[in-house]
Amino acid sequence: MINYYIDGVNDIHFQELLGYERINEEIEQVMRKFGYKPILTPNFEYYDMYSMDQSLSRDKMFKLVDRTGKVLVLRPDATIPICRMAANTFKDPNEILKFSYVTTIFREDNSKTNYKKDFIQGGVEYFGNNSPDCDAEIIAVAISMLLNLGMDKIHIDIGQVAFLEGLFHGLDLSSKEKERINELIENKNLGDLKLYLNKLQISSEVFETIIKIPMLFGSYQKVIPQAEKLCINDSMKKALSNIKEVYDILKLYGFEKYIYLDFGFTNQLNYYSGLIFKGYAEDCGDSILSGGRYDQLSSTFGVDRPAIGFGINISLLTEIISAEENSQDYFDALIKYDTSQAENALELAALLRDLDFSVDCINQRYTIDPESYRFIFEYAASGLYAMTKKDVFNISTEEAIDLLKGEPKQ
Amino acid sequence: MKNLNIALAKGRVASAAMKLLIDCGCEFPDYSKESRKLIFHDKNNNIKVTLVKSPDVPVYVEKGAADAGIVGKDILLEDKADVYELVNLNIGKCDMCIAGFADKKPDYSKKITVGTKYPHITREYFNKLGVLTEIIKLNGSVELAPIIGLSDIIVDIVESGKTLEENGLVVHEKMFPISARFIANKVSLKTKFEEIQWVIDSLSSLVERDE
Repeated sequence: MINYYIDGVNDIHFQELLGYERINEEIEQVMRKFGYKPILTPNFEYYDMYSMDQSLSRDKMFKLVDRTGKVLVLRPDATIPICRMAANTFKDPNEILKFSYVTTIFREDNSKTNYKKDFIQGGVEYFGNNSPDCDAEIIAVAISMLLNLGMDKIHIDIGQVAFLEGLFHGLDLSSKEKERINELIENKNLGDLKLYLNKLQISSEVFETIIKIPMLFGSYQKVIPQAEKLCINDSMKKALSNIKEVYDILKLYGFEKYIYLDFGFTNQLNYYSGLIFKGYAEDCGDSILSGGRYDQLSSTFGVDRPAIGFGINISLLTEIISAEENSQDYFDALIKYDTSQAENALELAALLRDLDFSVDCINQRYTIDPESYRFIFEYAASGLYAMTKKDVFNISTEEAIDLLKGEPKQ
Repeated sequence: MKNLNIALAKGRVASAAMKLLIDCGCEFPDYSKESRKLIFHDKNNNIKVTLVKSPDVPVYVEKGAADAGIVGKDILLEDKADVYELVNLNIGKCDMCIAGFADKKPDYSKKITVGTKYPHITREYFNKLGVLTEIIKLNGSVELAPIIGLSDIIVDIVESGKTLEENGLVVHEKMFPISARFIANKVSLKTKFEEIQWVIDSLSSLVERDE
């Protein structure tokens, strides 16, 4: 027998899917409560759109060729297409647009512990507002989602891309050198960072500032005074005051206890331009959500509008909160019938379905797993019977309906 | 205080790394170099050390099964892991080298055959030079490859050069230096910061003292 199982993809079974649905519901509820309109972009986008932006590695995308020879990709990211969609449809850059989505992201995840070809992501994107209020709202939405899912040990790390870029500003560094420094900072690789900086023509002041950035993380009270000392120009000061303002607004939400800072976050997706953040919970060894401000991305689609958003990894969430739902009582009734009673049984099933009950109706000669049904009836040649764990008793169709009505679904 | 799990690479690095941790103030009553045990508890600081095969260290750490780890840079370069690489410990020092017969320098203008435990590092290095290679992945005793005619040259870590010498090979080129690194899971560094911080600080000060 040939095994047609593809590496890196999953079948989702019934109970697991119920878990997904519950998580989706909790997440969509929060999106709605904060005023985000659900939308969906196509599964396909032009490969060119992604290669122009260079924020995603090309090897990670799934490419297809359409009939005219154009190269398409399966949606490897949600933000860029939504930004494109917003620019195509809404031309006024000052209009406030708040969108939400839950969709599959097709992207090869090469990390050795978590090899995957696709995953389900939820998220929100907020266009037309570049104020700290907007930054804070996005983070509040993220925290609310985790709280709504009943998670604890929530930890949100906030960083600012503009802080490091402000530092680079005015330095005579090639983009390759900046990229290497970013990479070393991102990995908090202090040893190699020092060695690399020693080779570059930079002042000792800049050197000392850069090597402090990887370890510039922790609680707000601890990090802010340290970061203040490192500001050597106005753009760094501006980036820092943005974080302070956002933090103050998050206090109004009562969420400051979840907030930590990390100035060592660098611009991994090229489009980020300001505040960025990641969220962790429940001792999971990976970040569950991440997002940030991308004020310049939209201008590549012809409308210059600020934006911020984040995505939450729903596939990962289902792994963390062992999301297998109890599937008992998923259906209301199972009616097994003797061939001679087929007409009566089907009639009863139709009646119950009209009353919005879920009913499975099947000839008794088949075996079926009774696990997922609230009630089991048997239409034998001698009449209708209700079967409980302890008892079998003869009932009328009216009594059967009352039985279903009497015990509402929990 | 939360429990801190550290994964150590068995073999070359382990004994030096254990010594570093003991110098930091850890005490492992069960530990001795000859011991076959794989898990050691430190009685002072709530640290659990697990000995695993070196390529598994980054896997344990990335997945969060261990909060931190100590492993050679060669492993980190060969199989890239999404972890923080916090401290260069300057132990387990050696060089990644190209080696072969002294009298048979390979002709880089033609396709060469390379035997190595590090196919990824090798491919990347020769690609940069624009040299065509056929890479043969081996799991040990790489020095044998040129001797039995399996490959023209080898790429391997060289500590003293003694193994090479005894097998009649010489280093053609030192590619880059290798040393052991202290790595940490990206989330653990944040959520167990206090526990990890003193290890980082103690290790860094030990390293600086030795420099």
